[in-house]
Amino acid sequence: MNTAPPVPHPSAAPQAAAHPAPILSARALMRTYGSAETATRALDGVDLDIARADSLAVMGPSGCGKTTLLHVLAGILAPTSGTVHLDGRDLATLGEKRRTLLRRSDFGFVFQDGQLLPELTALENVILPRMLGGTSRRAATAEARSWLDRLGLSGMHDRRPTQLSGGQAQRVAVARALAGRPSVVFADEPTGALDQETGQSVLRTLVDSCTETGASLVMVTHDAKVAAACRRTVAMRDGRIAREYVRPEAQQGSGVAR
Amino acid sequence: MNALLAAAPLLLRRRGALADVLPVIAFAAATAITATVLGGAAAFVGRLPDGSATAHSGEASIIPFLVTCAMVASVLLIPSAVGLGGSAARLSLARREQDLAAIRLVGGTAGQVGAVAVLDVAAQALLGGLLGVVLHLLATPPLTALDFGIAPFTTADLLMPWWAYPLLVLGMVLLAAGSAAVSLLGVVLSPLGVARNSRTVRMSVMRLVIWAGLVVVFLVFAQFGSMLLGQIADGMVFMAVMILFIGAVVAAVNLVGPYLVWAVALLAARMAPTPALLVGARRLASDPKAGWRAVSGITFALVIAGFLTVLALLTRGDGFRGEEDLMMATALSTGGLLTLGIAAVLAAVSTGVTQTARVIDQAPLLRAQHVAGTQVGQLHRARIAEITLPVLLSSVLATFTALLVVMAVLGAAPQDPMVAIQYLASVLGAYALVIAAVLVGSPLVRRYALRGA
Repeated sequence: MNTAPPVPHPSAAPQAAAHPAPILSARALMRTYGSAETATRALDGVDLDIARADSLAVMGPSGCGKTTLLHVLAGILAPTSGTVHLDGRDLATLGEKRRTLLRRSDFGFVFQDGQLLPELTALENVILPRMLGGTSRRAATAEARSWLDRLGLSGMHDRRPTQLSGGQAQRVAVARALAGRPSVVFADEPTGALDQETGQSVLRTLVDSCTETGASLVMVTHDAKVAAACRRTVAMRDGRIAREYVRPEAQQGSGVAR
Repeated sequence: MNALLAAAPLLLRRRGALADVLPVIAFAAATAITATVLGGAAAFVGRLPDGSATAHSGEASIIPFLVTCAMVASVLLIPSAVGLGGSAARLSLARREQDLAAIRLVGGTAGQVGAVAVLDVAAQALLGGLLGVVLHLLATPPLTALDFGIAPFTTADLLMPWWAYPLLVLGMVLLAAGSAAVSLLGVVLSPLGVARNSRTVRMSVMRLVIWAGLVVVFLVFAQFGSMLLGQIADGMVFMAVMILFIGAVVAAVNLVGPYLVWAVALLAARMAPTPALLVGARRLASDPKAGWRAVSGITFALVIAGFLTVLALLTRGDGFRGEEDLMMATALSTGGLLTLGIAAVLAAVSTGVTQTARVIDQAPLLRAQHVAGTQVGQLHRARIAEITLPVLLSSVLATFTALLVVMAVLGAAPQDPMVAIQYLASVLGAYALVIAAVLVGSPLVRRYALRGA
């Protein structure tokens, strides 16, 4: 085991007391790209627990393995070795098809550039994953309208992504991620393409929405102010968790303008 | 400028073998088909009897009619082949937009970048054109084995004169450069990236009005034109105008096709009960011209299949008993099948190339959709839904056009149920061809969706 032991903040409440049951649990995660002489170890023995309704920021310099960690936790990439358990199910034992279904039913995703389908309207972008999961268009539409209104996008349901500002498009991505009531939302630099003010607003929307729905949030960022919106922060270096920081309740979200 | 042009090959990154090969394949197919069709038409013209003779029998008596048929086939096929060349130019340019933005970043002016882009497309057209000529030279000797019911053609008969080949390749290069230059007008290449002049697509209803007007004028001319022009030059002027009208009516399906695709796709997107239909219909509604381009080749093939079916059945009728009639029947049957075969190749290349290019363009979104839980099978179904709608519209429009022309020429619709059965077989064949062309891109969809997994 190469992972550095977590270093709780002195003033932090013990994690187990506040969030007793981890929904996502990773043990001894290794992930290597390439082979032989060209092999690069992106994850080098990572242990991590994410509790229900908790928020975790993964920080670190470029190439430290934070995006790889997010992809492995979300079942997008298979680890070279180690395990990832979601609610007791080992993702590594699931085939590609089952992992895809799991991502659809249990996870939500917010990417840096939104990755909205450009031809679809805002509303259709939100209903699409629900329809893929078997929900009828009528039911999915009702849910999606409610989410878009809740995120301040009423009157913009029929706009295409190109007709929205960067912040509005990212709110649509947040609505899309949360409409399926996922247990975990993965966000990869969700405010990376936005100006500071818009980024803060989107971040607040993301964190508040996850809190309201009881979804856990795992967010990759290089920005300490963005990370401050989460209860916990792990700092990665060379594929390992080098440091962990748990924010006291009073300071949570202090980096987020309200 | 010279320095920039010298640096252009370094800046224009190769995006992977397939993306670069697709436009070259399209240019090669367009050149090969144009050369083969022109060579064949010229071979029939070369058999025209000497004008000094007054009466002809045997082969000489049917050659003028066969020349007319060859002209009709040329009028139908060459615009499609030229259209494929234009599509290839747009395809090549789309692959390069990010590279062109990079050239702007390192100091190229908009004019310099435009020149580099057009030259890049022209270079691919030159390569494709040369390959097309080679393909044509290789394909011509086997074509001499075809039985047209008249004295067999030699390879020399079916080849164009030597000077026509450089002109053809030059024409293809100029067509590609022109198409690329026109396409560039709709793109803003800034140093920070590419901005397409995108707006919500609206197709004008004028497309429908112009098409309907053309159909009406054609029907009126078919009915009364011979009274006006029938006496001039033994009816040759009337014949020539009819051929031009047939070409225009068939070409006009490309005018009304995108409008119908747009209108039907909008309706389908609003009501789509499945995610595949929703995505497919929205993609079509946002770029109906591209959606139609994918099936325009197959539409021409179906129109030709319609003509062929009626002609083949006519020549089996009781009136076809004499030696000339049998020669005519053989010529029409072989010529029709050859035309249909060329149209099918054109359609397959056109659909395969445009669909594969679309997959390459959508690679990042395919990956993102899969990451978010869309199964690879669902991605495939969305692509099938995207092509099914234009294919259905294409078959309806092609059937209408073929029936229209046949009725205008013959004065009545064919009554034989065999016409319907044979035509239905052609439609099913067309569907199979398009679906196969879409499936060619399926391994790429899977590869992009699962990339890095």
